[in-house]
This record gives sequence, C-alpha cells and structure tokens, in this order.
Amino acid sequence: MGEMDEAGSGSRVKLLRSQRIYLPLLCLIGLLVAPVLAAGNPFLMHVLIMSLFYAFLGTAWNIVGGYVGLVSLGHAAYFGLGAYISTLAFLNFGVTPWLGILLAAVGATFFGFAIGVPSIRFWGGGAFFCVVSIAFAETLRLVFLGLKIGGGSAGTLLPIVPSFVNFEFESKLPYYFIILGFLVVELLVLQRISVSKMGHYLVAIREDEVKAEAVGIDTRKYKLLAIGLSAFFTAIGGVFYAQYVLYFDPYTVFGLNLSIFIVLVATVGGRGTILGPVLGSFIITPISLYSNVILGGSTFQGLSQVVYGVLLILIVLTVPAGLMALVTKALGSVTPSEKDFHKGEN
Amino acid sequence: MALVRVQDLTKNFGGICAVDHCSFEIKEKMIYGLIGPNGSGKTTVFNLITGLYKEDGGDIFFKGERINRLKTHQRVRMGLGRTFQLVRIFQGLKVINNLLVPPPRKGEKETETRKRALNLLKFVNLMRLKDEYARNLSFGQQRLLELAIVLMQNPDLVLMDEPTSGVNPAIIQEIINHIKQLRDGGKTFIIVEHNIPAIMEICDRIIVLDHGTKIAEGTGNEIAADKKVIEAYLGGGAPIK
Repeated sequence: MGEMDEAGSGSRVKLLRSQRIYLPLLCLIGLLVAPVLAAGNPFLMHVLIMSLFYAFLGTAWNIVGGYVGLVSLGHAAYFGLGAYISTLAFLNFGVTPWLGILLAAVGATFFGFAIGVPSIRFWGGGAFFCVVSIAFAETLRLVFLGLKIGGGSAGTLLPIVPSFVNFEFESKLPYYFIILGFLVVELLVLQRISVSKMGHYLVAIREDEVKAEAVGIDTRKYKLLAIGLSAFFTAIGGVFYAQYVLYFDPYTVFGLNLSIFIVLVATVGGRGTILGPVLGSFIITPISLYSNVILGGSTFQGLSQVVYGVLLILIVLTVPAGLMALVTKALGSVTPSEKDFHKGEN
Repeated sequence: MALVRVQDLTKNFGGICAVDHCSFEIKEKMIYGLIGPNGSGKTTVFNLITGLYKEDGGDIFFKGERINRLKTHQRVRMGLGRTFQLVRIFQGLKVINNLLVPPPRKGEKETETRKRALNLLKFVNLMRLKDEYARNLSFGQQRLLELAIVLMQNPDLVLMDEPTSGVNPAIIQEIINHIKQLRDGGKTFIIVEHNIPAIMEICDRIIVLDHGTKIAEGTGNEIAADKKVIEAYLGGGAPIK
C-alpha cells in the first residue's frame, strides 16, 4: 500500500512538473499566435495589447499586494512617474524611451522606498500603507496639475515620429510583442523570486508578520524590497503606456481608477499566484473594453459600467480566492503559497 | 557570566506601568520560570527581551552585549528564540514548510536544512503530519510545531509563553520532557506559565513578578514558602502547592 502511495505520489509530482512547464509554454505559444488571428482587426489587437499591459501591471502589484499582503491602492503613482519621467526626458533632452525605461524604473523605485520607509518603519504597513499609497498618488496628481508639469491638465503629447529608437511604431504589432516580452521577463523574475529564500520570506511575512520577524526574518527589508521591485515594474508599464497611447495627463496616469483596476486584475485572477494576474487581466480587460464598446452608446449611458460591475461582483463572490484557484484545483496542484516551497516542482 | 541580564527594565502603557525597574539574571543551561499574577508584566518582559516592544528605560544584555537597539530579527540571529501565548505558526503552510521558513544557518545547504527540519519533526513527534497544513493540527500539536520552529533557529535561549496553556495532559508531559531534554543538551529556557505544578516540575529557578517588578527568586521550594509570593498570589492565604 505504502509503495503504491509512493508510486502514486511520484507520478503526481511528474504530472505537476509537466503541467507547470507545458501549461505556461502552451499559453506563450497561444500568445505568439494570437496576433495572426487578430490581423485585420485593430480593436481586437488593442484588446490583446491592453490585456497583456494590465497583466504586466497586475503582476507588478502582485509582488507587494499578493506576496507580501501589503495592499496598495496607489500604484498609479509609480505608473504616472514612469510615464512622465521617460516622456519628459525624451521631450526635453532627447533621451530615447528605451533608456527612459531605466530612468523611470529607477526613479519610481526610489519613490517606492520614499513611501515605503516611513509607512513601514513607523506604522508597520497594513492599513496605513494602503492610505499612504492613495495619498501619494493623489498628491502627485495634484502636484503635476498645479505645477503644470508636462503641460498640467492639458496633458502631454508625444510627437508622432515612428522609429524603433523613439519607441513608436506605425502598427500595433510591435507594441504587442514588446509588452509580451516585458510580461515574460517580469514573470520569469517573479518565478525566480518565488522559489528563492526571498520568496519564502515574503510568503511568511504575509502569513504572520510578527512570527516572521520572530524567526529571524528582517521583515522591513523584505517588504521594502518588494515595494521597490513592484514600483520598478509598474513604472516600466507607465513608459509603455505613454509610448503606446502617445498622449496622457495627470488624471489618467495618477488616477485612482487605474490603481483600482490594477488591484482588480490581480485579485480576480488570484493574489499571490504567478499567473493569477495574467488570467485576471485576460478576463476583465476584454469585459471592460467590450462592454464599453457594445453598451457605451448614448442610449444607455453607464450601462456598460453596470454590466462590468455585476460581472466583477459575480466573479469575486463565486471565486473569492481568484480564478487561478479554480485552475489549480482543476489541475490538482498545491496551493499558491505552498508551491513556493517546492523548488523542484514549481 | 549570565546569558541574559535585565537591568532596571521599565515599560509604561499610557498611565499603566507594566514593567517597573525590573532586574534579574538568567544563567546558561537552566530552566527559569517567570511567574506572577495576571497583569504582573511577564509577557511584557518577554516582548521587551525579544524586541517586540521598545523599553522606556533600563538595559537588556544578551551574551554580554547590550541589545536594546537591536531589532527582533537581529536578536533572534544572536540566538534568542521565543514562542507566543497564543500559538503563532504559519497556518497556511504545511508543517514541514513551517520549519523551512527560518533563515538557514550560515553556509548550510538546502538538503542539510531539510534534514534538520525532518529530525526536529521526529523529535516533537509530528513526522507523520509533515505534509498536513499547519491549520489542521490540534492546538497541542500546534504548540509542538511552534517549539520545533523555534528549535530550527538553533537558539541558545528559548522564551516560552504559557507553553502548556490549552493543551491536554499528555501533550503537557511531552512538552515538559522536550524542554528537559533540550536543557540537558545545553539550551536555556525562560518559561512564563500559570500551570504551577508544571513550573515546579521543570524549573531550576523561579522568578516571581508582581506589578512589573521582581518580588522573589529561588528554587521551587523557596518560592512556595515565600511570604511575598503567597501574598501576591492569594492575598496572604494558603501556601502555593
């Protein structure tokens, strides 16, 4: 009996390993093929790009909100900083947005530490961190509006000069592959972290911060690292947005709506799971965009938001742990926080 | 040299003085009991020693070094471990993974850490539950798991806050046996406990607190006969048994 259990458990582990390798691989192949299917349909292409884009932002938020459990409702702050730093460097000093990505990411990381250090050092994070994150994003919005940075409320318009160096393209296809590339890199980084000691510590902090400190984990340091990394990636998302849309203003890039949408993507998909935000984004971004197009006419003003809201409520009520929990259950896998400890199986 | 020296330790919460110029010493390889009526400041002293609270006055020395300014995790890395009054384990993780959370020893390989974790699970008789979620364990088993997590840190001093509270007699005896075994292996314990028979059975010395200050210290028999202690517990009634 024991041997049979061992054998069963062994084949299950093999199955899990193969699932963990082949499933993301299948998803990636699907995403590489998707533009072919969307050829000739610019709106579908836009939906795909935005789904990848919000998956990227949701994954960045997930580092701090999902893995550490620090709920930030002000991630638009890092996003907006990313968009402005890169764009202003481009417009004023001719710095290519490719280099701007680095400037933006480093700048936002610095601001992430600036908000993280006091809120964690003096108040330990928690609800205070959530409130400070909103205040920080709102303050930035008001500062950019009040000081008319980048044109203030009139917004910032990027000149249309398509070239690789300018990170501007005539078709949507390059944008699609760029954001797909960004997402893959981000997911690989997160995967490496989740199986590292740092990943274990982040999960432990989320489970019980006092206990984590009491077993010798420098909880402040790891929370700050998570905030910094999350801000880093979110700012890259901001640069991509600026280059894709070519126009933005403080309302759009620092707005609470954006912060909440990022949180929704991760929460609906599954906080603390690597692929949760990707799944979440590919569910709610199309719902949001299509409901706007189909129901957004003047006859039933606001109906699109009602339908979108109802769908979200249904998802959250039916699967409070996130849609990824359904997938993991269907595959008979271990829970997200657990798999982080199974290095060989992840 | 004392392993721990607490000197004039003071902690106020608003107008309440929880620990009032408390001083005592803990010698190596001994089991100390820290007892006192409810509200006498026992857990607060633990929280001050481990750095979860910041003291308002006084000094704490560990291995001869003043540790007042060190953070909790730094004190833990110096060799200080603790359990909590209400069990604190990583409920959402499996039993074995609870033991893999503490940072490994310097230079220790992953396989070695895992082997040590499995040995500790054997030690606390939780081996058969290693793949169970911690939240599914009984309260007594969770206490044992908490002890195993502390031991993973390989501490020189273990502070245990009411380790037998809410635990059935069989597991109480198991916990007592483990503590004695670990003491014999060179570890030092300070135990806060309301279970006086258990304290009398395992402690080499007992420190009694009342109103945040030390009122007595001695062996079990000395404490049981101490008038100040009897008065603090019973208002001058029957002796402690």
